[in-house]
Amino acid sequence: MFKKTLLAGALGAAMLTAALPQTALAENTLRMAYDADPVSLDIHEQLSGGILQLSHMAFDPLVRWTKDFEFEPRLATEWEQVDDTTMRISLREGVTFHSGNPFTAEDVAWTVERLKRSPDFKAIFEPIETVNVVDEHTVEIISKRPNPLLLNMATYIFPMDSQFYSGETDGGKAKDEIVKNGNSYASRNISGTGPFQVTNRQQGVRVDFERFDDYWDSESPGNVDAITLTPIGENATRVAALLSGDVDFIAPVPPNDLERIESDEDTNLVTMSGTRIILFHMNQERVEAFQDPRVRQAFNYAINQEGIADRLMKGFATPAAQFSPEGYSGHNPDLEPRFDLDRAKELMAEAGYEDGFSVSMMAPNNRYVNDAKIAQAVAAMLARINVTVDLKTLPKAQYWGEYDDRAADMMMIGWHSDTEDSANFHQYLTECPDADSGGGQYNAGNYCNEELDQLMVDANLEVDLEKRGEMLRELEQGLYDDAAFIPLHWQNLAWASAANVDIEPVVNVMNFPYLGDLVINEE
Amino acid sequence: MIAFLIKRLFHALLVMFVISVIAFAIQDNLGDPIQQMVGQSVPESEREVLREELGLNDPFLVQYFRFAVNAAQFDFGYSYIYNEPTTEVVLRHLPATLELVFASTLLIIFLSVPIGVYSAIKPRAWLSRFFMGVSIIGISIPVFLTAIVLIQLFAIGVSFTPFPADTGWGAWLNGLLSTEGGMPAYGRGDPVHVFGTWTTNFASLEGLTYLVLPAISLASIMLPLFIRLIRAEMLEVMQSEYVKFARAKGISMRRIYFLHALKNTMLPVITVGGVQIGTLVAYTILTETVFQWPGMGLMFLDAIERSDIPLIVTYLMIVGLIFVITNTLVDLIYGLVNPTVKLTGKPA
Amino acid sequence: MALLDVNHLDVRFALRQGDVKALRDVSFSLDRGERLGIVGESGAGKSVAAFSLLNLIAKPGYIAGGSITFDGQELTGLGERALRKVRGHRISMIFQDPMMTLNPVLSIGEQMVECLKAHRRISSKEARAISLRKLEQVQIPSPEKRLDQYPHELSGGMRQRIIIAIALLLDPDIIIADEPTTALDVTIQAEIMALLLELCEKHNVGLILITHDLGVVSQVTQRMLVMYAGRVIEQGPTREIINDPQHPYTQGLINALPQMATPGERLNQIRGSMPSLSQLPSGCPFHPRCDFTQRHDGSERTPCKTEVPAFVRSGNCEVACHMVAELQDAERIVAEEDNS
Repeated sequence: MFKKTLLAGALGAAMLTAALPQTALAENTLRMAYDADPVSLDIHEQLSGGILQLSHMAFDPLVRWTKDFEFEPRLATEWEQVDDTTMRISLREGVTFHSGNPFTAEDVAWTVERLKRSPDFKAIFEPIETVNVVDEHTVEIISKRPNPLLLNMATYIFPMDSQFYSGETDGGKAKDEIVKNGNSYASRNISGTGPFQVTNRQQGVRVDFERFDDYWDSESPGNVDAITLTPIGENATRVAALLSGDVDFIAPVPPNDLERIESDEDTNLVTMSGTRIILFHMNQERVEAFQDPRVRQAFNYAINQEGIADRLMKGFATPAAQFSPEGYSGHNPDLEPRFDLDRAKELMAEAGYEDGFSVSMMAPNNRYVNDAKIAQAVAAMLARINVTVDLKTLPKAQYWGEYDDRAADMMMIGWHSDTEDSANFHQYLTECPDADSGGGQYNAGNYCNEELDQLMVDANLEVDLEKRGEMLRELEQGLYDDAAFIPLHWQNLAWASAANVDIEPVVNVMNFPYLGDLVINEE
Repeated sequence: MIAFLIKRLFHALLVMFVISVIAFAIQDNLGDPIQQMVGQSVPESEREVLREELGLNDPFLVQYFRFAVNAAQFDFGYSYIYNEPTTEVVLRHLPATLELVFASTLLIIFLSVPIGVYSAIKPRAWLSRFFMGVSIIGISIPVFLTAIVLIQLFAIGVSFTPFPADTGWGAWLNGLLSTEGGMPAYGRGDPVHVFGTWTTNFASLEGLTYLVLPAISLASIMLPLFIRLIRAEMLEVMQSEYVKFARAKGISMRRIYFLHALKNTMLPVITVGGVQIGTLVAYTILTETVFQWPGMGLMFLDAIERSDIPLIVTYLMIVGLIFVITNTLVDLIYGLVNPTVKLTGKPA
Repeated sequence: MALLDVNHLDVRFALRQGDVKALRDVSFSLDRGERLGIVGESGAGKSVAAFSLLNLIAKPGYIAGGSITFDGQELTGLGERALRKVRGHRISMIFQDPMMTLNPVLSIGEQMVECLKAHRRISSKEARAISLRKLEQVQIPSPEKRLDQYPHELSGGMRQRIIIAIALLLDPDIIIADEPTTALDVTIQAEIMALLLELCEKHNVGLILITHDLGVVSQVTQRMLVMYAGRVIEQGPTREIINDPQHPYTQGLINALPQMATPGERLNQIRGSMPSLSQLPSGCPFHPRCDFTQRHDGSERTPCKTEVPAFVRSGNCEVACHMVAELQDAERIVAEEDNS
């Protein structure tokens, strides 16, 4: 022990002296660690959390969500619904790209056109017909049909430097091509209007950013001059890096370490209720019993969502009885988790399954927080209504293939709406499966209710947001009554930082930290 | 000698061939790379297009044939994740792993020989018993646990305060038991570029501090084995007739221990230990994961999670090659050290 | 005074069950240039006796009592450092199996030079020269080549010659040879033994030859002692003991020689086997196997079972046997009677 302290002390001293020159520069550098680095610098290449987080660092959207689900003007300063399918948007003046090129309406049109080409984004932007350039700082977005979600989509429009990305590379390739896991120009070169420029990138190792001197938002309180992003895949190591002072900001934070970080006075923990719903599907095609709504309801009554959230997730989840989390327009406050074991048994008996039956269940084991454990808990709960569960858990790389094949009677999935909108849940998870239109792509229950489908279609054409919200709440009620699936909870989010890094104002439930506005205080 | 090396080269090719066939055969079970590449909302039609583009729908033999033809020209395919030739990806990650293994090997050699010899010479001394006990613990504790504990103790720091902190002596004792932390918790820091893809941690004191904890973790897997091996061999050797004879000649014990006995002891240690060190190159996975060390192990885990089949196949083949190279080197070294054996492996 | 004097040597092994006595009350001496044979069955304690002279017995063995005086110096109780000066230098040893005795990973030259350098301050060149000369003395062909060769490259006979050469490197006073030819081919055995004998005679080197081969003992040694169960039971001039063994055990040994057997009939064995040292019979350790525990008239010779026999002089020999003692007493009584 003695020698250890001496050794540690000696080496620690060496480390400190090596670190000193850096702090002497009096530059505010944020060292951060996510569980993975962005797979590409081309923000249209993949629709994922990592890429969107990068987008908010190097680019600006037309509008962005505030913590209260309002729209905050960024590169779009005003907007006006001119007619049913046309929205006129005024763009901010005096904005420059990292390359030096000025930001104009051309860039917006170019960007949307590229989004419609992107395999990942095209589905979201399908309702948009085209973007017209009215003048240098005005555009009109034309939708194919009345589009209540236009502003939602606008949060994904991060204008790219069209001049920078035009033309051909030395190798004769188009600079604007979108290539999956690309070696494309855009995947390695980046120019946006955002607060940070990329100065260095080693895939899988680090990305270095520097504050853009000509950044338009001079009112932003953010004082971070440089950012170093290193991926740390292993949860324990990421937390250790924060606790040892090697990094200043980490996300995600594993639930096991929440208390530890909170109790440490040199670190800061921020948690928030999330928007990713974790649920189980009951496959009606595979199991006849699931066609009977009483059986499905019984299953819902048998599951103790609050128990799971409380004891398994240690309070790091919000129990759910529907798709939409609070704050979404479709969130129905009347719907509460229902746990009633007696009622469950009653319903099973009514349906003629008093002796229960057996089902197969599959869940991933490295995708969602405590996913395998949750599946085991659910299996145990179902045992109480005489349902024997044969559970198999798989790593996510293998799980999704099985999911596509609908390989088990009950399958777990977690879903987060790309558009931050309620209808999205139904569209992918409970719409009548239709290979042509892509409806119900992840509907592993093979649940089909044409009335509810129509309700969703109507809601998506309803431009009056009040009315739309009502319809969506009705949709949730319908799914609840029909026990279309078994909702479990919404995963919470957590971020941790060094005590002098004030992350609370810049994080939000979408998990897009607005690092441009981040303030690092004096120690 | 040349014949020997050529035979080994042939072995290497055979090993790599077999591995590649197996890896290709099980690729369906390795997962769907498309799933890892696209977002959740991308419709099936888009995925099919991608699948076609990447040639994932072709039958096994076609895919393998394509691969083999390319492999013969040293083109092992393009990694799905990095979209670069897999050989480049592997080469980029190789130096980090090699440096880590090298550092661990140094630690193992410089610790196991003195400890092993000492434990054999004085088997009943309390220090020997202590080392044997610790080595049992070392074998039983999984490497990632060792790694995490090291990080906790030396990167974060731990304070034990069983003694009253307000007294002078209490505080001093507490200080002895606690650790300061301060070592880097992860990564390689800023390695210095040497040439090609080789960046090194050995160029500066700071670079070395990043190497310390991971090297200790990795060494902890093998160190107990080596200590016990050297001790057991040495104990046996000390019973031999030639040691007795050396004593009867009046040779000093020091010379007997470190020349007569040690040289014979090291023969099986080289054989067994040499191959183990070779396997270290392949099994840095856990250590690299905990320390986020950007070497081949981390790259491989990533490739598995993202179902990057070309990279997985290339990695496995390279590892097969490393095994053959290591075995060959061990045989060569053994042949040099043991005069009763000719290099071809046949007794002289 | 004899060059080597061993008096009442007691060697024990400290085992978990208790101490086992490997050598009891062993006494013998060796003059300068004299050749002494130590014979007995396996386990009698011959090798233990040899190793204990240089305190080379492996733990848990230890010298429990007695004295070993060499050239006026007491060897028991001497520290390792001082003993090392004697080993290989004044007293050398030759072991049984030359393949196991030489270190397989060191060259012959290394193993010879190190012996010289351990005892004298000389350069490697000088040491090599001396080694070459000794190799010539033991009649090794092309000795320069041998120095750089390894043990496995040489035949058994050559190896043993080299070991003899090593034993002679520093011109010792005594060579202790522990079964030096047992592991060699029969055809080589005679050669090696002849070489050893010649060299000892030529350089006036004392020899303690440990063997179970009575034939070799009778050809090479001047005096011999017979050991049984850790004790010396008969010692004296070799000729006298071979021609006229007094102790029943010695008689049994001689009778068991193939030359003593009747053609066409079984060899004469001593019935039974030597007892283990931890379970020795009471009294004379040989009595369970002895044909002479009963007298001619059928009465029991009780001391055989109860008392350890002391040495009695018989001619130039010393014998530890109750029967011999009784016979001597009877002769003396008769002689006294005659005289009175």
